Amino acid sequence: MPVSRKSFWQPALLPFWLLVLLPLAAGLCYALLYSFGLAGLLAEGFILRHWGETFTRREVWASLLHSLRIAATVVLFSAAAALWLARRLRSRLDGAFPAAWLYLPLVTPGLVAAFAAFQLLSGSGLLARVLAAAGLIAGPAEMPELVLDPWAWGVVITHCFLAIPFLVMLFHQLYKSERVEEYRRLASSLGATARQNLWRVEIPLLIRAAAGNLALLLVLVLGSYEVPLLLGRQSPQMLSVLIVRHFSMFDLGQKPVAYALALLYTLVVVLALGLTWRRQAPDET
Amino acid sequence: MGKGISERLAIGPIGRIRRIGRIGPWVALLLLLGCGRAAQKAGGLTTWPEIEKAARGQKVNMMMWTGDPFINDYMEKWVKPRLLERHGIELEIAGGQGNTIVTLLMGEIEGGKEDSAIDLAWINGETFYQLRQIGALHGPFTDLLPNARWIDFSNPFIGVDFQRKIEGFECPWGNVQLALIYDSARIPEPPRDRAALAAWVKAHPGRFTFDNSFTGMTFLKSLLADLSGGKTSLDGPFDEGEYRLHSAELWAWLNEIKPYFWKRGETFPGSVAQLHQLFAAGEVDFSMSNNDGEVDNKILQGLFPATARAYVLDGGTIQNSHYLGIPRRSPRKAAALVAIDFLISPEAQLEKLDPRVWGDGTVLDVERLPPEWRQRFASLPGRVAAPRREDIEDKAIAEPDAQYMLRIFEDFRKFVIEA
Repeated sequence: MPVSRKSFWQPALLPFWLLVLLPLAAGLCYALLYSFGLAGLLAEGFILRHWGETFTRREVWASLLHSLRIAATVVLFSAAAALWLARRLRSRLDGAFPAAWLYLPLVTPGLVAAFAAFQLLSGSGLLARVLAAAGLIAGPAEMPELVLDPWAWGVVITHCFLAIPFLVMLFHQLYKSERVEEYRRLASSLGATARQNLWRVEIPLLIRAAAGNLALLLVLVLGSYEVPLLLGRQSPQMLSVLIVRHFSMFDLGQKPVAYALALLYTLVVVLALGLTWRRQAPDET
Repeated sequence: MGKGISERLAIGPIGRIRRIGRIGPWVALLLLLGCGRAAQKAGGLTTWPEIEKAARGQKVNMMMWTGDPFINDYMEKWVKPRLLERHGIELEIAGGQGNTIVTLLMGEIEGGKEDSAIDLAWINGETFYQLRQIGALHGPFTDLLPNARWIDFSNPFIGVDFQRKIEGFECPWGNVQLALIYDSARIPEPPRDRAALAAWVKAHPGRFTFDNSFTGMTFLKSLLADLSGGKTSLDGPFDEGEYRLHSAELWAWLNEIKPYFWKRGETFPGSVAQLHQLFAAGEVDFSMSNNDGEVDNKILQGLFPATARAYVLDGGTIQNSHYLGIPRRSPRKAAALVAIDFLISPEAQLEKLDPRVWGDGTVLDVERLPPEWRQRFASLPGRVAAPRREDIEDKAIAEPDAQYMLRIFEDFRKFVIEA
């Protein structure tokens, strides 16, 4: 993870520079030029209008907050669920069966999960049909809104489904590598209660060790496209959906705004990762 | 026939180079090189036999919307083998429509790619507007096509696309009109006009919606024309004052009944396919289609119940044509021309008109056809669930200026979804 300044410039990293960072930097430069009206077929010459438009639109800020809220909810819920599962299933997770079934969502593509969620949770979906057959609801309109809903529960549920197995695996490994069990025993011998042990020893140890991965999950959800496209509503939209909408607008004049939005999103991601890794760095170097 | 293809190809690029941006000299250079080569490739082919000869053995990459199994079957199983057998052209179809095509061609021009990946594209009005805006279309070419003589280009529903003359830069392929779809078993008497529709929506909360993409916005355009005073009220160039006045009425009308829409109007289906599914699943009572004949083919696909019917509101709905275009940088223009000519032949148009095949309206002026073809068009098994074309033709509204679509897309979001 955080690499010292010296090792960053090592010649051995040259392929990484050439294959990963250079194209990325070139893409970002192009986006920057495009957003200032300096590149593209319909470029008008240097203007700040597109950036002005990006910063003054309510939907942009609403989308940013909406995306951050969804991503944070997913991280919180899936981390809590995974922690619970990892603790409960600790002894069984090393076996092949039945705990291996827990990893099934790991091989499910996001798009498939989103479709399944739609078929399951929509007003005329499978769950609604079961509830209707049981006489609990009278029609599609009475089904609690879980897809295309204001709080984006469908998006959150689907992402949690996809993320939980990964986090269970992660926490399970961390239990071993962070020597949680040994610290627990140490704390107990010093008189800590089970509750204190959980909140003061286990969780802080695990969360601190997992912070980098949780930040990556946050970024992954923040940038997700197909799940909110299918299960989210049109206002506010998650960032990627908003950006793609501006890219594919009927009005080609919106393309520079799309590039500006994409850059704004990149900035948010870099900030989120930078903050997490900065906090982690002193321990690891 | 007049001008040669090479002359036609040379028109245009210089004027656009100025707009290519300040980092543009390199792009401009590549553009010039590209045009030069393209002109050479089509070099000197001015007569149809020459074009046909050059087309033989070529492969045509066509990009089109591939979301309907009936349409795909028509292209793959009917058109493809005939093109190969009769003209020696191998048709390769790739999925993509509207902005995918625009993004691809725009990217090719911006990146200085000389040979376009596509030779032929199914385009609609808004795509035509965009592609002309960036100078990505080849043309004019329609007067080279022998079968174009059966088309009446003076018909405003055919020769004008979004109030813009097509000027030979795209060839009409099919003609359709927006229709509402309902289930006659559930609703014996559907609302016939705007007021009745509003009353119906209020009386049936949660049972009506429309998609917020092309079809739904075309529905709103139809309502806007009705509110503006009738079928021809939006003709001509975009009128800001008129638009503001009548769109405000439209948003007010919509916002009044919005709480009674599906999901209280807080969200709308993202595509017409999603709307079709909601209708088929019984979650809403109406769907709609830009193609008045689509209802028959959806019944045959088993998606809609056999009792589904399509109709047009008394205030009228938008009728428009869809077209075929050739990218300016296509390296196989001769083959693309031959393919288009085949697609507008009476034989291909008749097959496509059959509701069991696609149910797409013909762009041919049937009166101009030789008697035997006229006879065959007249005796095609009629529509079942779709309205008769003669009955809805007087309720047809021409596509207004593209600016209307642009503004409606934006303002619907601003004044209705986010309101």
